Amino acid sequence: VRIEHPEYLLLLAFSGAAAYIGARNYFSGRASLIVLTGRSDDDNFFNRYLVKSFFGTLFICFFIAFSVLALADISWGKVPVEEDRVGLDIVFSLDISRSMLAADAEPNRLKASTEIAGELVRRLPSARFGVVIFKGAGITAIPMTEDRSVLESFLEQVDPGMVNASGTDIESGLDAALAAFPAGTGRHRAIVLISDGESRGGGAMKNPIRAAEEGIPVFSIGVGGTEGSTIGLPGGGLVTGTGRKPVVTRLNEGALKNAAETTGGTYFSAAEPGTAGRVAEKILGFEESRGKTGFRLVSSRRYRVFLFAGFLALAMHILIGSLGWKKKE
Amino acid sequence: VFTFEAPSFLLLALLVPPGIYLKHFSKSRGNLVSFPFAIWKNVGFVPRIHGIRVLLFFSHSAFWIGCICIIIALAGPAVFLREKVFLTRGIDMVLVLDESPSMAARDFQPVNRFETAREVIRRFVRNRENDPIGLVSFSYEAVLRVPPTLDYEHLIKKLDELSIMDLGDGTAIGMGLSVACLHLRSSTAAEKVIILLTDGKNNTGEISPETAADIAAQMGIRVYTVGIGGKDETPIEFSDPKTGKFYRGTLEEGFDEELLRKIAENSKGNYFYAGNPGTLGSIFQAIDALETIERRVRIEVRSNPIHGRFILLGLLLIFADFLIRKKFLREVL
Repeated sequence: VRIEHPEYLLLLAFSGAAAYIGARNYFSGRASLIVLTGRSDDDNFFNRYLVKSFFGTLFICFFIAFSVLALADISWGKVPVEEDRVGLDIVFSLDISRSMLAADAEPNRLKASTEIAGELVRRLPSARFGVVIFKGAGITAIPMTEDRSVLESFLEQVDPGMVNASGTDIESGLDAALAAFPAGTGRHRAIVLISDGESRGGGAMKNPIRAAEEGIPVFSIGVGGTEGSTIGLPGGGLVTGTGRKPVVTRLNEGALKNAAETTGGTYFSAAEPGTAGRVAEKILGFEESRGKTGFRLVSSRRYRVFLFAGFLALAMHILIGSLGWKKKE
Repeated sequence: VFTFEAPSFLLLALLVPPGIYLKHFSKSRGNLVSFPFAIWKNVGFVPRIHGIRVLLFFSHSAFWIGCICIIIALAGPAVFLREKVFLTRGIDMVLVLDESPSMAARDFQPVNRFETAREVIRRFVRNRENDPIGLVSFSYEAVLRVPPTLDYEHLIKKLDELSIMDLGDGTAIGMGLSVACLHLRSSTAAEKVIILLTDGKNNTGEISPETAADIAAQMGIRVYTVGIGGKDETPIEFSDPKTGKFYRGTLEEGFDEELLRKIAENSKGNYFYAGNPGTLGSIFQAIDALETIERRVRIEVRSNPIHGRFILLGLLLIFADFLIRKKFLREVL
């Protein structure tokens, strides 16, 4: 079971508000009716009023709750969608933030990343590649191309100075990666996200969901160690934070794992030997299985089940409010 | 194109008129209750305030519009997008553009040769489909700006970033051509094309234009050469992007027509002469027409569901109606 838009669940508060308003309205209405009709408090009329008020409010609350569940787009199960593609387009989304200069990978995280990317380019001879680089914002560095020499020379000289925006934002890296696939090419698509995962912001990520909808798996690779490391500057010295203390950065796998899981990709740790080989194997496996079956599985949208239940509750609300008072008084 | 995934749900809208009748017009509807008038000493009520009736009308309208939104959402509204998918491989092209200071000559109005060339290339790129296009620029040195790609937006962005004198002073035609060849090396396209634009004589670079043309010919790349510029003396103005220094002068020398013709002939391409902006435009149209390839295309339809907006709107309208009636107007029945 997956909730595509969990933020809408906050609207469930409307349901509670409706219940509160309904209850208050019952008590004030009852008092008004006593004054208006001159009936005594224990008249059977007021029992019916209670029943009608109670169920009328209950069904409007149900309606709100079910509509909100429909809006949150809860899905379970998978349905196949036809996908007739040939060939493979891969975008590297490469984190070039300053924390990537930490030396807890050999020789540093950034170099380790570009080595893996270069190795992947060599292992996937029939694929086309593009490269986006990101820090606080992402840009296309190499557009999708067959030209391998440009990829190789770019990967050799990639440097944190290539993007101005500071910080790390994996969302913007994925955003740029999704934009880097040219339209209308009819090839299988995959993103290789390489980062130390140190992301500011946080909260639910939208782009993995977008990628999943478009059938683009994210194969994410975490570089660096979880025990933490200082960041060496190219000219010597360390990156320092407040109080001149060296900044310590550690691999944060959360966002990387999330992106992989949401999109049907896989997470890899660069610390284990032979990472590039395993990634290449996974990507080839993905291409082959898609190519063979000719379809991909997408999560099945179930909003209609909830919305129809909500609609029925709304109909009940109208009926209860509209039906007469049984006996003519 | 707007469609419904499950249009049969729209039949539920037939329930709306009976619902409106039941809720607002039926004689025995639940929001009527009869009681003896006598306790009010037969005086009756003060007529209702007009404003409240208007508010109530809007509130009821909101409710029923909300119901219709929910019914529409049930029917699965979606926008269909058609996407052209190319099944065949296009032609790989690399544009080789001269950025030497002479390109600033003002004989090509409104600005200069370089701006005219840039505009013509932009139009040319926008006209192509499915053909990976790359960009090399040269003057003293030659640099690959964009490898052959279908990402035309990126290509045009990089083209717009070019500036005269960025690569020094000089005209290294041979280097420009060989950089283009290098980046077409791993191309799998059946047809490969280089379009060379220059207004000067080759005067620098380690590789001579003839050698570069031979390499292209051996790789099966067609080279179209375009010589630009009038044959008379022309005024020239530009500023060095590195120092910001402004230069002004007169240009006397043109391009080497013989060389460009030879390069084109060697590689089974064509040589063109663009003496004014109009001819440059038509030359690119001619190349566009010459470089065609059989294409097979499939139309892919993707649906983009938009039920969420209808659910949200319906929900808010119905809740607003409930809030107005029960909370603000304190409706009893």
